[in-house]
Amino acid sequence: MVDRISFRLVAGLLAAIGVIMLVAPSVVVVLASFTAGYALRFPPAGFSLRWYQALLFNSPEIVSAFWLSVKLAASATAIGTLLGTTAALALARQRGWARVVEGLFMSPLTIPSLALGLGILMLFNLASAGLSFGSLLAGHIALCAPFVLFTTSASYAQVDPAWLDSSHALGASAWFTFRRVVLPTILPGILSGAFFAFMNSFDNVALSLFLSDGRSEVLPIRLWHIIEDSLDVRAAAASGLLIAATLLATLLMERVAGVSKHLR
Amino acid sequence: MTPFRMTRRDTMRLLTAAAATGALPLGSALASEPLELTATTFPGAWEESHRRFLLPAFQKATGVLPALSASQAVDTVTKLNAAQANPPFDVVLMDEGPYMQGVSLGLFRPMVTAKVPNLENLPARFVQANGLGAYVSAQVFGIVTNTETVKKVPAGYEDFLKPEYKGRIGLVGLDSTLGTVWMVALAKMLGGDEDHMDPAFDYIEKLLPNVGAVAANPGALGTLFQTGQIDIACHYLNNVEALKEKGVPLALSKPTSGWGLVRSLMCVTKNTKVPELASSYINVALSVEVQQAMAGTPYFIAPTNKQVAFGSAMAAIAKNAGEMDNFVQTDWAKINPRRAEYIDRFNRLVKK
Amino acid sequence: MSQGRSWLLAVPMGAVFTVFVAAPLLLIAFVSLHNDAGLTQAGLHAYAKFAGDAYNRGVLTDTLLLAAETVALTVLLGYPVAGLYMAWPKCRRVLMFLTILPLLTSTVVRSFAWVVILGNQGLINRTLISLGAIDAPVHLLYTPGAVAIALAQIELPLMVLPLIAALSGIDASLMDASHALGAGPWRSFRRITVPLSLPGLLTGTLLVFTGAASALITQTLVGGGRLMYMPFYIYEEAIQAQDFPFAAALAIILLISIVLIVTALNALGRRSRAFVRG
Repeated sequence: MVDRISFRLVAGLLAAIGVIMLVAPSVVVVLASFTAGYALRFPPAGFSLRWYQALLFNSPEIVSAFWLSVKLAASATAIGTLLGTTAALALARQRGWARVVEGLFMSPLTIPSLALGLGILMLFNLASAGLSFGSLLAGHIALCAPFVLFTTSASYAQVDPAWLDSSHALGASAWFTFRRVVLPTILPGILSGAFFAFMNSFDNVALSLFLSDGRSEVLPIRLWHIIEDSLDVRAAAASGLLIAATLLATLLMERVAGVSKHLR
Repeated sequence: MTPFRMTRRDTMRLLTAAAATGALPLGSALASEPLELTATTFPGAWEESHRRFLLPAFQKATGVLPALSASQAVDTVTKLNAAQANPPFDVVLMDEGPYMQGVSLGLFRPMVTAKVPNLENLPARFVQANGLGAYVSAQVFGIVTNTETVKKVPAGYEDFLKPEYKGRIGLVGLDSTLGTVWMVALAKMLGGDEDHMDPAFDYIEKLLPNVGAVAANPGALGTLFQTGQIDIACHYLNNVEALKEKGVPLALSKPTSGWGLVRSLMCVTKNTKVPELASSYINVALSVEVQQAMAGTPYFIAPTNKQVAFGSAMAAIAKNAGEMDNFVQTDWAKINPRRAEYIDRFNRLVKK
Repeated sequence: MSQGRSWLLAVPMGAVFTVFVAAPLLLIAFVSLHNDAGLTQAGLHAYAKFAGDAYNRGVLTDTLLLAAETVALTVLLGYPVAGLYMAWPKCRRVLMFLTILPLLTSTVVRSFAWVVILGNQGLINRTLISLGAIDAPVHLLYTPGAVAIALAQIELPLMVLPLIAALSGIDASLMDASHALGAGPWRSFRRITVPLSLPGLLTGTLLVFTGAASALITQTLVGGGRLMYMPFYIYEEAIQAQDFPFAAALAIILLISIVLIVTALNALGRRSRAFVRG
C-alpha cells in the first residue's frame, strides 16, 4: 500500500515538474516582455506594450533579420520538400540497399549541424567560392530535405500497393495515379515534414554561424547578440512574437495535417 | 509488390511543377537588391549610439540606410582577412591595435578624401598620413561600481582583491580592447609593461575567487551589470552612462593608477565595391552634429573634431583632448605580436 | 521503361547529399589530418595538440559529462511525463501539443528564458529572497548545473516522444499480471516497464545525448564566459583563430566520442533486449 502511494507520489511529482518545465520558460519570457521598465525581470515591473512597439517600429535590423530568416527557411524548405518527396517515392518498396540509402539520407537529422556547417564552409573555401546567401541556402537545404524524407516515407508506407495496381490496371498513367491516389494520402506527411523543416531551418544557429557572409544576420543570431550585448527587452518581445507564431502555426498544422502523428 | 511506375514525361512534369514552387521564394531571395553599405561598430553603447545618431544622419545625407554589424575589432580583422577578395564590410570601426594589424595585412584602402571634407577639422595627429584611417573618438576607462549594492567603492584596481568583493567582480575577455588595455594598465601598475605582462596575469589569478562572471565583450559586460551578476568592473565611461539611462545605478571613478585611454578609428576596406559611399560614412561620423550628439548624454564618446567642445560629463574627466594624452595608454606595436598568446593564456586561466 | 528507372527520382537528393553532407564530413576528416591550414603538410599535429593539453581534454570531458547529466535528467523527468500520457487518455492531445511546442520554439528563446529565470535578479532568486530563505542572491546562472537544467528542458521532448512510442507498445495485461502476482509498482516498473521500453529509452538517449553535446547556443548563453564546451571551441578555432585543421580535429573528436558512447549504449540495449525476449 505504502509502495503504491510512494510510487504515485514520486511519479506524479516528477511528471508535474516535467510538464511545468516544458512550458514555464516560454511563459516567463512572454510575461517579462510586457514590462514597462528597462530591466528584464520576472515578475515584470508594470505592464506596457512599449517593447513590442519598439520592436515593430524602431528596429529595422531585427525586422530585416526576420525577413532573411523567413526567405532562407522558405527557400530551403521548398527545395528540400522537392528532394525529400522524390527520394521517398523512389526508395520506398525497394530492396535492402534502399534502406541503407534512406538511413544515409536521413543522417543530418542526428548529426550535429555544427559539423555540417564547418564541413560545408571548408568545402566552399576549397572551391575558392565566397560565402553568400547561396552557401547558407546549401547548408539549410541539406538540413531540410531529410525531415521531408522521414515523414513522407512513413506516409507512403500507408499507401496500399493494391491501389496502385488497380489504378494502373484500369489504364491510368503514372502521373494520374500519383496525383489522384498517392498524393492525397502522403500529402499530410509531406506537409508535416515541410513544417518541421521550416521551423528547424528558421531556428538553426550553427549552420548560419559558419555559412553566412557577415553582411546579413539571421534572426536567431541577431537575437543572440541582443541578449548578450545589450539585454534589450526587445529580445523578450521578439521571443514573445515567435512563441505566439509557433503556437498558431502548430495549431494550424495539427488541424490540417495532424503533425503530431508523424513524430511517433 | 508493384513498384511505382513513371514514364520520363511524367517525371519531367513532376519536377517542373515542383521546381516552379521552389523557385518562387528562391528567386525573390536572390533577386533582392544587395545592401548598399555595410558598416561595423562595437557591441554595446557604441552600437546603440551609432544606430541612434550616425545611421539617421547618414541616411539624411545620402539616402542610404546602412546595415550595421556589431563586431569586436579583432573579429572584424579576422573576417576581413578570411574574405579579402569580397569583404563582408565596406567601412569598419577599429581600435588601434587591430588597426595596425589590419594595415600590415593590407586590409584597408585610402579613403576617397574628396568625400571626407571633415578631415580638415581633425588635429593632424588624428589623421593617418596614408589616408588609411581617421580617428573618430577617444574613450576613457576606469572603475565602475553599482552604487546601490557596493557601499565601499574600491579606490584602485588593487582593491578588487579584497574579500568583501567576493563573487562581484566582472572581467572581459582579451579579444576585446577593453580587456587588453586593462591588463596593460594592471601590468604597469604592478611594475611591468607591454613586454612584461606576468604581473597582470598573476593578479588575475589572485582575483579569481572574487570574479562573478566573464563577459565576451564590453557590451556583454554591461549586460552583466544590468542583471546584477556583477557589481564592480573596469569599464568604459560611455557604456556606464548608457546603462545609467536604463536605470542601472552605476558610477565611474578614477582609479589611483589614473584614467585609461583608448582611441578608435574608421577605415575603408580594400576591395569594397562602394569606396565613395564608405568615405562619406566616415565623413558623417566626423561631422560636428554626429560627434556632438555622441559626446552628449548618455554616451559621452569623446570627439576628435576640433569644433566640438567637451561636454559636461567629459569635462569632469578632462578639459580637452590634450589633457587626455597623459592618461594610461597602450603601445600596441608591442602587444600585437603576442596578443593571440595572451588571449589563450587568459582563457585558460579563467576557465572554471 | 519505368520499373528500373524509378530510382532516378532519388538522384536529386542523392546529389545534394553527396555534395553537401558526405563530402563536407569527409573533408573535415581530411583537413584534420593536416598540420597547416594550407593543407600542404599531412600529419597528426592537430590531434597531438588536442591530446597533449589538459585544457583541451577538459573541454571534451566537460562536454560529455554535460550531455550525460542532461540524459539523466531527461530520463528522470521523461518517464513520468510519458507515463502521464499513457495513464490519462483524456489529456493526450494537450500533452502531445505541450511536448511538441517546445521542440518547435526557437532554441535562443528557450535558453534566454533560463537566463531570466536563473539570474541574480531572476525568478528563482527573487522568490527565495522574498520568502526570506536567503539574504543575497545565489549564483545559479553561468554554472554547469544551470546549463544541464536548461538543456534538460530543451531536450526533454526528444526523450518523451520515443518513450511514449515505446510505452504504447507494452501490453497492458503484463502490468495487470504483475500486479496480480503481488509485485509492487516500483518492482513492476523496474522489471517490466523499463526493459520493455528499452528501445524507446535508447532512441531518446541517442537524441538527447547528441543534442546536448552539440547545443552551442544554450551552452554559451546559460554557461557564460568561464565555461568552455566543444561546440563553441570548434566555432572559435574555425572562425576566430582560423585554425581549420585544429577545428576539424575537434569536430571529428566530438563526433567520434558521441558515436562511441551511443554505440556502447546500443550494444548494451541489444543484449538486454535479447534477455527480455528470451
